[in-house]
Amino acid sequence: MSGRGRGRGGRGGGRGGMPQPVAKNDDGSIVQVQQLDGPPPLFPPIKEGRLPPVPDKLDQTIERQMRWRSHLNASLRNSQYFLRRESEGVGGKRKRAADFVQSYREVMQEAAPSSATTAATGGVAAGTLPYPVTMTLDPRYFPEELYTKQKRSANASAAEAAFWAAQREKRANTQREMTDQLALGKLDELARREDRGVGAGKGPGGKGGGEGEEGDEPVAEEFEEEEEDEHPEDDDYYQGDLVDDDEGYLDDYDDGGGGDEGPIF
Amino acid sequence: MAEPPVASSPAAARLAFKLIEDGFGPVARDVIATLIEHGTQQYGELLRASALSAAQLRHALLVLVQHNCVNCYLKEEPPTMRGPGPSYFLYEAALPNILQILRVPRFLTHMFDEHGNDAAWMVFSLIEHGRLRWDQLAQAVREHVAGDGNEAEAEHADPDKLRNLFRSLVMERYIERVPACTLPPPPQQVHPNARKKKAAPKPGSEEETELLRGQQEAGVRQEYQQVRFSIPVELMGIGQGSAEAGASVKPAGKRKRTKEPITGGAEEPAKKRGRRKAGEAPLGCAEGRQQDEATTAGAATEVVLWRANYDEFNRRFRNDTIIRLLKDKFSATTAQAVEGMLLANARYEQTAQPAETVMLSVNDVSGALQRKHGNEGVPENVAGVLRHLSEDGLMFLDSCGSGPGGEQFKLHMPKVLQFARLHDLQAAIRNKFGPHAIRIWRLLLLNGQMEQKQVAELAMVPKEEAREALYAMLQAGYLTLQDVPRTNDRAPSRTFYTWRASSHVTIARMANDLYRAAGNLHERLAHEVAKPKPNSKRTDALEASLLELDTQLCLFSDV
Repeated sequence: MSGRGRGRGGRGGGRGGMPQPVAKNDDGSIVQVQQLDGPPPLFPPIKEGRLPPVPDKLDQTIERQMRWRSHLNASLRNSQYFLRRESEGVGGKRKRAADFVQSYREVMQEAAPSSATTAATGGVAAGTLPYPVTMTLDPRYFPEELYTKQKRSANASAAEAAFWAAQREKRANTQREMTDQLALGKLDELARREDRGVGAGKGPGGKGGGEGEEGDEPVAEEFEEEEEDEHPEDDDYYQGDLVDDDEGYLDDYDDGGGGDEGPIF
Repeated sequence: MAEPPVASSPAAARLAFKLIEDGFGPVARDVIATLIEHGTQQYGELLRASALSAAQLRHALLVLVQHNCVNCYLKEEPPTMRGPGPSYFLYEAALPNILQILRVPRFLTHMFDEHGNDAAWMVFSLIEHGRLRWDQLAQAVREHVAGDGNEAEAEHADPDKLRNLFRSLVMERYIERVPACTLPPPPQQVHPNARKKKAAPKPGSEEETELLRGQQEAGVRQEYQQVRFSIPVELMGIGQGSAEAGASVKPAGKRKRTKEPITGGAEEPAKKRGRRKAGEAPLGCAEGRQQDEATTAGAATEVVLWRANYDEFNRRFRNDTIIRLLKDKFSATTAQAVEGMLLANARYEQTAQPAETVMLSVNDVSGALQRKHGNEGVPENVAGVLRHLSEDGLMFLDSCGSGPGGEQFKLHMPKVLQFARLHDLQAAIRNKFGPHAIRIWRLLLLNGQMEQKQVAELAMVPKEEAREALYAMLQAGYLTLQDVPRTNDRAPSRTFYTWRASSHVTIARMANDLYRAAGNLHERLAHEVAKPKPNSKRTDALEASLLELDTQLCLFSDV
């Protein structure tokens, strides 16, 4: 939009940029705005006299509440409910690596913890976090997906492997059959053409049966001719006689000075 | 018009993150942050959205569900032509519960003052562990009492005393049963402006099926409400009738993934009692006591988990606020009479924030006061005091005629609380913006919308000062500006600007500012404590300020 007008003077070089906005109050006078150098401080200094003085003695009720608060915070921090971040790596923050191989390796390492790590954590494998003893993991109160892993039995794994093998074999058989059918079909088609050629040669006006190969050609030619006849009507890209290639455009141009034909809408 | 709850504002979320990180660590904080940013999610979606490993996420979710900071629901999709629809669990961050962590010290001091040391330790254990069985709770209380230096008292304590105390706390609704994770998710709240009037659905249509499904889900939620404060048979004590137990425990609805329905009926207690008696150890010794509890816990077919009910604590604080306000505004006798009304109404309250009390007669009020304080606590002429309050212009009380128990009245609790909030709000505006600002705000609240010049004249304030106060309050969100243009181009020189003050908008804004202030105080306290040599006087003052600020938050947000 900015490029259309030609009389605006373009970029107006040398005059400086856009004028800075200025805040004005109701009287029309300019209001001075303080310019900030960087973000404001996290804990800015508080002006003297702005806040009431810190009391020497706190209210008894507040003191009791403070004691309960410190007791509760201490017990929660020292309990198994306090979850600390582990270091990067096994059992730590999951990396969103673009390399699939890298993330797969970490998954395998998580699934099979090393003996050294197990010994260091007192028999608990890395990656498996011990749950607090006070938790009653009842399916009525906690979703099972949070504390049960679907353990695959050996029978189930073998059954699944057998199932997929059978599926693979079935797919291979189907493909083989299709290929065979195609191959057979081709041979059948060739045989049918051969018979047609023999039949055509025996009929009136036809060629001899011995000229089987030669007889094929006119059949093929006829087929192709039929295709050529049929194609133009079905083909969306065939233009035929409807093509307007602009020949003769402006040949009989009439600048409109003559006859009064009226507007064309 | 219903406004969105302030507890879901960004300032409240920021405070919630700090409280979670303080209590449960950075991993739990990440999970809560993901749930708040992305909303209610399934486990798989949560795993993809958070940058945590599967083991860490599962462990964090278990800890947060244990402490009631995350709610679980079972969503069942409607059946299709192919068969029954899939069902999956949804996880939701319980932001109101997380924000209550700040108020826990106040809960504990209230419990200590009302019911004593053992009750306070009972609630402390429940809050510390989130949810516990009865045997775990009893063990935890004994350990805490022994840790207080009362080891002898803990060893020789009467086991029935603790059980009786627990029963009384459940009946007073301080402790409740934990809801099952198979409850359906709560219905979506549609804004009143977006609600459309729909005709009754045609029978056999999809709308009717959806309506019936919604009613069924509401029925399942209602069933939990019925058993929420019911006490199991094994905790009713020896010699209690089975009919009483059967009456208190009602069966829950059958859900797809529920393996065992909640027990009910008179037949089962007899069977359980028979099984229990076979393995029951003699009472009186510690080992026998523990074995008895373990046997009881093991023999019961149903596992019941208990947790602290924060709503009941907030309800008590709300009642205290109402009584204190009426005592200041009217008299101590009026406050006593209203206290009786609130006590009598307690068992009829179904929600945490009811609109008004049920119709209560003078006899109901006197009876409730007598049960709580004895004969000395009942004021003379209760009917006269309540009649006088109902005739007051503030209309806190409505007279509803007379009945079998005498004259009947209804108390409008939201009106009383609104009055209390306005009172505190005006004090905050005066402290923040000055005495002229509070005069201007009150003027706008009474007169509706006014122009700047009118405001300055009626408030008797110089024009410049009025303008500064108006724009300062506008910037803080305590006032609104409406432009009334005279031409289509809305040119400022041809437009009227009128100022408005709305109590609802200002109160919501104030609550938001309180959450932001609490977050800032928490941040500053953590900064001071993390210093190599923290100044104990400064940290104590900051902590005290945080606890006192929570008192204001309770009034503006949770009651």
